[in-house]
Amino acid sequence: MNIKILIIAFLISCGAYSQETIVPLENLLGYESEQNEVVYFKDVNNLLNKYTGNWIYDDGTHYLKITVTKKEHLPQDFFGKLLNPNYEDNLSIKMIYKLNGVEQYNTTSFGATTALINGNVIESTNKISLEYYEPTSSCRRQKHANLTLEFNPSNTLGGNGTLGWTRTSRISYVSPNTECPDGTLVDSSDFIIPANLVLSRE
Amino acid sequence: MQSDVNSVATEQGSEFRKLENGPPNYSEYVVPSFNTDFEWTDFPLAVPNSEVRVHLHHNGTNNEGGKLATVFSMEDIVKTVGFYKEKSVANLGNLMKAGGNISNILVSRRGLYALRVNDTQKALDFYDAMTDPSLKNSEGQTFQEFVLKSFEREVIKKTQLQCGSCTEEQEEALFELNFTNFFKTLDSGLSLFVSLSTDFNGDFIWVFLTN
Repeated sequence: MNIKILIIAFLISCGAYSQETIVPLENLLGYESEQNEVVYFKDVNNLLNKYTGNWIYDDGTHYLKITVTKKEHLPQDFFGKLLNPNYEDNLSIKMIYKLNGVEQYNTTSFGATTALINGNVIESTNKISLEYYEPTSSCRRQKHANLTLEFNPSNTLGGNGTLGWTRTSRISYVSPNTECPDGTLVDSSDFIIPANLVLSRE
Repeated sequence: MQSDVNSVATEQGSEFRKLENGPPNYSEYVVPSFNTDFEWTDFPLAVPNSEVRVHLHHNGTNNEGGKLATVFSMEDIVKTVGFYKEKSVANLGNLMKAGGNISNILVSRRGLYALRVNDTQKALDFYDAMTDPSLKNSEGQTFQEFVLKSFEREVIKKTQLQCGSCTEEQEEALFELNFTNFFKTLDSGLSLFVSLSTDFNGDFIWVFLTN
């Protein structure tokens, strides 16, 4: 009985995948899909792999450890509400951030796919742009930002390279007087992790 | 308001309230300057005869070189439904008026854009989803984060990629096209209009873009 179910599930899965158009992830912004076309923006050239793993920055004042994970075939819908594209690979980042030894953020317990920093817009072979949020106890943050990660290969044999971290603000159009559903105001505080860092592989 | 687009460094806003007897047919409430900033305008709660809200996206640049878009922001789209909801509350008990015939108009250097409600239920559902922090998908994203991410990518980044070395006017036209396509996918219950010219009488010629 269980074997039958597995076979049926496998066939359904094959059927679903076979209808997808696989497009290299680096073509995500330029690809014009046909109506009703199901597209999977896949990292076929493994451009995301170089960012994955643990990276650390520590200057005695700021300590940041990030874990970068590659997620595959993520559905891009919201309870049936679809916005293009339909499936894609991306990077998600979990982190521990300490200021003067005191932990400010720890998102390591967040679910595998609920990281606050994630994305997949490939700017160039070694540069990628992600959505950036820091944790808040409010319903939302007023400020929005992008994070650019730039991988710098090592010049030495067997070296691990470094990872450039650059946060840039986005215009949010959100007033600090905006209320959450519970009547409290949105979090209008600034982000606290430094905007420009160079991290080393752990 | 459009003549101010280059001379002001903050948004500007006005609300027009329909009068029972005219002329004039409308009274204007100007949003005080302390309720505006570089990138936002705080309108007061709608009153029963609130009809049209207008705000300006100016040409100024912030400390980090950022400029306002020449089309609506996602926040503007959500606020349009919020305006409708507020007016419905203000007209509670008066089903003939309810949320009624509201318009949200944006003025920018490119022209005028307008949003109007075409499907009440869809609009209210969209608003509820966009303002509910507990509604999350399998990725752990709220609907608002999901939509903002899509907007950033499908409108802003896509326009930058397509444009390359195009002129400012070409970039604005492309931005409008990508915004219109994105707006269509939202299925928000709102209709989007544009006016880039006037007729012989100086009245704006409105063109329907999409629902």
